[in-house]
Amino acid sequence: MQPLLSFSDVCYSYHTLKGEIPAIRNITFSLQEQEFLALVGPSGCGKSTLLNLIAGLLEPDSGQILYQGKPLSLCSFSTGYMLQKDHLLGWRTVLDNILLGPEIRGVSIAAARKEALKMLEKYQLADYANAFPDQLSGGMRQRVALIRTMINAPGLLLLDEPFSALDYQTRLDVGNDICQIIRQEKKTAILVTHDLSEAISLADHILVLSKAPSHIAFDCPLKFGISDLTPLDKRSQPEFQTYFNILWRHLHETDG
Amino acid sequence: MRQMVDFTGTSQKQQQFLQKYIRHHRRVSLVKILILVLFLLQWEVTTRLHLVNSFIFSSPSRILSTCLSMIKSGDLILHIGITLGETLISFLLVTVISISVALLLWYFTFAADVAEPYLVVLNSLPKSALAPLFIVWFGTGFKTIVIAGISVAIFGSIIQLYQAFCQTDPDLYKLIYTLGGKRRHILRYILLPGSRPVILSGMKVNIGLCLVGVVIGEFLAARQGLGYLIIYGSQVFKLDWVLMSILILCLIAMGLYKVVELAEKWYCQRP
Ligand SMILES: Nc1ncnc2c1ncn2[C@@H]1O[C@H](COP(=O)(O)OP(=O)(O)OP(=O)(O)O)[C@@H](O)[C@H]1O
Ligand SMILES: [Mg+2]
Repeated sequence: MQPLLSFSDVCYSYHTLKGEIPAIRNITFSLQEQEFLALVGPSGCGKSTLLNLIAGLLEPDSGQILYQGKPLSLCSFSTGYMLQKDHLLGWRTVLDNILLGPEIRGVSIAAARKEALKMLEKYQLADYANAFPDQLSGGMRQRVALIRTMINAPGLLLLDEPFSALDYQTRLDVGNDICQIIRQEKKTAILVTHDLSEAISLADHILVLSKAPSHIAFDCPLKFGISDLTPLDKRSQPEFQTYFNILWRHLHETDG
Repeated sequence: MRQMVDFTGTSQKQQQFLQKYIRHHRRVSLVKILILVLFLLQWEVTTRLHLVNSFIFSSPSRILSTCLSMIKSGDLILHIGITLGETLISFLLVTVISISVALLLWYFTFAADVAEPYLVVLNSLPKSALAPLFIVWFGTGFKTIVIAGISVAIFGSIIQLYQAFCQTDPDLYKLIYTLGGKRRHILRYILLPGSRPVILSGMKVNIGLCLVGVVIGEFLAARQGLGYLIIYGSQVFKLDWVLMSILILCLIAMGLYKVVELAEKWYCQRP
């Protein structure tokens, strides 16, 4: 099967007055449709850079990024980007925040509004459609941010530590919710996280990146004996601990 | 103060706290007013007793009677109206021009980098030094005075807004770009609505600065307006006029500030 996204020998460096900072070196991997990939690696190793390359915000110095077999620059697919902060606009209501994408792209607002209300209903936020973001809890805000992303029907979701600003309890819940939503909507996603157990419980596939300039230090597909487990259930499976130990070791090898 | 605090269903300790709060604020208001009353009173008394020369220092009662007679003749309303009008027009122009220029500078980074030293110099230049030039260039009258009013506020306002625009979180740019937007969408969806608090607080400062500029302009290039009345009064030794105009300017400055503040409150209220 043709992968949805593939990287071959991609390199990227930042250019600053203090010199050239190589961030990514010869990265090669591919991602299947509806796969959930997690990227883990030491801080500053180039994970966000990688997502920015996929989102088209940066262009690789060398190597190729293909989306459905075509170079990225020739594709007009949209990525949905979620960041650590939800970046809901304080002066817009929840509904208007969600409609930001359709407004920018100039598609029919009436249809998008209907869709947005349906999604708010589905994710237990219907009562807050006309509230302002500062009236919502951190977890609710992050769910609204996800809806804002999903309403544009992105071909690929990029999640850059979207849970790390939440407290532990909320983080588990929202992680669980968002994972369910992504699977229900049959989306392909790439999650960047510092939290190994989060990566193992949410993803189907983990890439461990080395220190900058990063390359792939370890490629680990995840397979659980029982299929279709929720992220919370996965945490209590015996495989969870095994994967954790293996990944932990690789992560520390790249660090040391 | 009272309407702001709520006594219902509170404990005794809370009530004591609230009462202490109210008492403090009452005392502050009382002393504020007392100082004003005492000042006016001693001014009146000392001039009546000829302890100070009422020809030079005028007196509250002389100012009041001058004021009444000038209102009757219609002169005062005219002078106040002219000064107010000029101030409001320069304020509106400052608001519109500074927002537009700051947006253009943000949009065209090259222009912003080039313009920066010029803006800084123009902003720190004492604008009254330019007023004589304006007279030569634009003549005496309305246009010159409005330009004088604008010149005092405009550069600072542009710099402040531009800096506010530049401090926008770059992650918000990322958000707009990944939602399919361009630079102009950032302007429309992030910068303009997001800078509303900065724009409004800048407006509060600008309205006062415009009044300063307009009065400077009237000193030099007017036949009407409170600034003209001050200069003319001092030349013909009608110090009643001078002090009356200064007092009226105080009231206008306060009033304009309050109006902008009210507009700010009204505008920031959510539907
Ligand atoms: N705009 C930039 N200009 C210059 N260097 C940059 C820039 N952004 C990132 N870098 C450098 O590139 C490297 C990779 O950065 P990146 O943000 O991709 O790391 P990261 O893995 O996302 O880190 P973190 O886990 O802290 O989020 C870092 O060494 C960083 O200093
Ligand atoms: Mg990062």
